[in-house]
Amino acid sequence: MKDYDVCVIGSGAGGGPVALELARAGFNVVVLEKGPWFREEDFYKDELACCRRSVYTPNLKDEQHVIENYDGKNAKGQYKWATEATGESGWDFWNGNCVGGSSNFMSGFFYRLKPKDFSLLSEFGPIKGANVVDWPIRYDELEPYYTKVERQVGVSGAVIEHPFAEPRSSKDFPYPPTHEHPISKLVDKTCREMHLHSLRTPRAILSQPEANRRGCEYSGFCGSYGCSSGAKGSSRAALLDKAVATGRCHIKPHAKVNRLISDQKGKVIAAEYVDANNQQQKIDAKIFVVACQAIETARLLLLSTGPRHPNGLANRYQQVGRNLLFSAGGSGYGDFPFDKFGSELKARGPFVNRGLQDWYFINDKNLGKAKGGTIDFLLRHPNAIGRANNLKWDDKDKLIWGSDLKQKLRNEFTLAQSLRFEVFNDWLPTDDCFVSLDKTVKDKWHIPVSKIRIGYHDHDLVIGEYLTDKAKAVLRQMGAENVRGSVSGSPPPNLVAGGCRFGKDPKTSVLDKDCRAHGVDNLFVTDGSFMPTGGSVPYTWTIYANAFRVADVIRRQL
Amino acid sequence: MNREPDRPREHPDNILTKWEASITPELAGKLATLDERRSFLANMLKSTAMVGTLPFWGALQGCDRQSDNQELLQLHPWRTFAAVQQQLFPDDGNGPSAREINATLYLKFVLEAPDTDKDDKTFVLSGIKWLNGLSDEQFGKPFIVLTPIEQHQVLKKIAGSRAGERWLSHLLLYIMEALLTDPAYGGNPDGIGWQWLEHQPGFPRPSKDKRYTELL
Repeated sequence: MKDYDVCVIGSGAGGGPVALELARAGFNVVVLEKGPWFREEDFYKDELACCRRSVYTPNLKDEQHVIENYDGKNAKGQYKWATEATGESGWDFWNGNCVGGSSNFMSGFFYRLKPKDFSLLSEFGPIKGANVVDWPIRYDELEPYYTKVERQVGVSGAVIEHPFAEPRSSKDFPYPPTHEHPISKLVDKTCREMHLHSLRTPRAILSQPEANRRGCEYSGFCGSYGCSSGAKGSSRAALLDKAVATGRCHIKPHAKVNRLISDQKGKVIAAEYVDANNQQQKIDAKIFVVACQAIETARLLLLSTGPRHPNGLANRYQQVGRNLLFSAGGSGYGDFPFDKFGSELKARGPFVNRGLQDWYFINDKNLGKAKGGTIDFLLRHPNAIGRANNLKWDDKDKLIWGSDLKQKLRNEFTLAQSLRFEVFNDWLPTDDCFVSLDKTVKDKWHIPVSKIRIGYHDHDLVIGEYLTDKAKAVLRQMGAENVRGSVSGSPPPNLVAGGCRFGKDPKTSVLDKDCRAHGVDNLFVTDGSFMPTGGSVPYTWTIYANAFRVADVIRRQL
Repeated sequence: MNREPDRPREHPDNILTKWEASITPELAGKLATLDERRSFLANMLKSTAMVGTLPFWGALQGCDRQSDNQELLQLHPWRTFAAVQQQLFPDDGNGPSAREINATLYLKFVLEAPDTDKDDKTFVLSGIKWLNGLSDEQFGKPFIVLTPIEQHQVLKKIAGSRAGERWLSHLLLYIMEALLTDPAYGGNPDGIGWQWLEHQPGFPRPSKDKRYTELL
């Protein structure tokens, strides 16, 4: 007799759908979550807690990563890599370690992938130095689950027809758009003038109450903050609370899984974890589902050696950790002085909710036919301390203080609204972006930490520049002042996927098309690790949808 | 003031050079992180390790947590911190000064917080020693009794060294926090900083017993 039917490791967007669906189907589920269990009443709009202290993420002295960053080329023209532990650099790769994971802290910009995203190799051909492949499933197989997420997680929005709109099985979103900021009308007007299709960004934010969740209360502090109304579609608020209510889902917070134990036949038989009292514990189950976010999922599989898995679980062909993805792109701003555009732009609370996908696929005289991406518009992040602290440096990087600093603060904060844009384009999978185990640095439980090589493909920057120029042109057309933007190959740690790509061939992939590990029938991976290519949108909706899809597979297998 | 009377006077640059030399590469990296000069940094480093022997730890411990701003400002080293902070964020008729945002009380909160990095704490506190050393070399008096113009000159001198710039930058970081943090943390009383910069805070806001230190 097993302890549970299903053991889910990780409680974010990859774990929540599996826990809910299988508990609803009558199976006994346990969710092991490394972090604590915060509820709505624990979340405040407190910049120190959210963003300036390690409250929802581990202390980097206890748990860190080792980063291998590009460091030029040697005399032979080969790439060099500089290694630095994040405990030294402070570059934090954690995104939210608590029940619900980083979905608690997302902005909830929800875009689906498009049919061509499932077959980039066939559509656009190979790119030298990139490991682009087609997916083993088609958009049509995932579409019903995108629709399911709209209802189960709660997605608000309004369908706008445009040339690259993906097919939908439902007419429109189940929740109307959230309230919108006055500047959104100016975005729409400008886009009409430029013959662009201004989209209403779908959001995983309830515009109306649903069951025990309240509708959005428009505090103006959403991304990076835990949601105190329950409107944000975190795995915790939208799925796990309902899973627990079935009476068949048991969530264990403060349970850090260090290893999956496998038997002589290669099957996973137990999860070994450390509990809140630092005691070693074991849980057995019929099926194990790993969803620790891409980097930690790869790490756990690599750590889980066994008699049939000498190099780690599902790693017979050394594929675990490879082809890690972030999101490529850039960002920028334009300023809208209140004396020119009116004080109504001071409003805080409503969302801008505007995006452009007119260049999701590019046909350009210089670039030819290429995969492009998404541009999103949003207000500058409302956090004030970080913004103020940056103002203490002058243009020559010298410290300023006294009355000069005070006047600079006053001008920056009170004279204009800043509209920000973010560009999302594919982070091409390459041999220079992967997860392995560090040989020397260990976490506080004496377990090797992940080492992450974060190389990017130059093509990512080319596309990022192209889209950034388009976004800047829109801001200029709007009349913005001081329009600026930049593109970087530096990875955003909160937009991460890949590392255990799914595919048909065990020699080039870790998971089969159902996200079951090749050669380990009772092991599934349901976070963003499965993605062989990332698409040019934030990943969360796709992760949710795929996890619902895999939950159906597991239900049939049990 | 710890200088021995019979020791030859040091040139101010030597003091700054020694201060610089006292900062290990590891500490320098940490301080840069804390200050967010690197664009990718988002989170503060922290440590559960508690402070061992610190130059001014006795005075810090002697200060009652409940003491109000006025009492605190009479104590060493807080009087000196307050004087430096008032130079960095003066009462110039343009918004609140360091005193009005409770910058010193807030600094004390930061240095006593359980997650504040031990090295960070040591660095901030020991800066007073270097400041007074330089003040003594330049004017023969501790910083606190200098005229405002003299104080400004000392700070300018300090800012010319990497170690000194780091220290001032660090104090400015905590002034910005005192200016714009939730009043539950002791700074920004009644939202005075928010009002000045027309910053609309979010809601719900933390009460004093729901500060982040309670979640650690």
